[in-house]
Amino acid sequence: MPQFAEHAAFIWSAYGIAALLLGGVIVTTFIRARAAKAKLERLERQAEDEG
Amino acid sequence: MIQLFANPHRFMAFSKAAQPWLYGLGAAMILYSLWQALYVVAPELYQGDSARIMFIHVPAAWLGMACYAGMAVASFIWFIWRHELADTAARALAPIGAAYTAICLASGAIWGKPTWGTWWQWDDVRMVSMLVLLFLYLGYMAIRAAMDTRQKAARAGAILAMVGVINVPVIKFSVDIWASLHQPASVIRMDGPSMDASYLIPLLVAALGHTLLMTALVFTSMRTDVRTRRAKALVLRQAMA
Repeated sequence: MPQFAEHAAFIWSAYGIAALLLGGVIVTTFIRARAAKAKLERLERQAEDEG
Repeated sequence: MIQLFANPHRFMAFSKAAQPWLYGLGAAMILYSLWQALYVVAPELYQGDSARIMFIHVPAAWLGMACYAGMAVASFIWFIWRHELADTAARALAPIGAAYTAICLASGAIWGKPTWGTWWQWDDVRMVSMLVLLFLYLGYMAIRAAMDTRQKAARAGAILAMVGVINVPVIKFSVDIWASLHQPASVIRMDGPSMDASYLIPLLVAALGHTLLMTALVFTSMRTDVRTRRAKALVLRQAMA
């Protein structure tokens, strides 16, 4: 682990906030993508069965 | 180019092939820049180790502005040609641009404390215009969510995106026009970057990595939107049958 003397708290908190925000966007994007894909596949199967 | 991506089927095929490369290369470049930023580059002469915050702050600032400019261009295309994918792109860019703007503001405040002795300065145009950019993103998402139809949401959002884009050059040139605590541009300058290559190269790699990640996330969100619309059309067709 790198040591940053008196600036360590500033550096780690800046990168920590960035990781949290970017991680949040990535996770939300993938959860929505998975849900939309699953819903469309279910509806397409349903349409095929009925058609 | 616009016509090429106006077709959802073509976009779905292209984005499916591009996504793994964008995510993979983006992640590799971000990890490389993190390693350089936290382990390799020497402390800066005047700012010491706190200058390492630059490797997230600067790419976040560039992408915060770039996403908004992209939203304005996509909104203009939707407004003129009514290409639904352009509206989808504008909508997908908003949360990602807002996240990068928030990262820029937070890391800037954190970097400001050891460098300037203050977290925030209300009479600094660069800081306040960046905060205005965050409010524009939040306003864009709120105004879209408040509309009862997609057409109304697209129209209201497009108007806000096109009007609000005037804030982007204000952010860029604020440090040259008004007195500011913030330092002037040191990379995108008429006479070339003023930064040492040991800092400049990892910074550009970080910016490119985040650009690839942002593009991949926009593609994933756009694909979700296309699928959601297809699902709604199927439900409607089944209801009418």
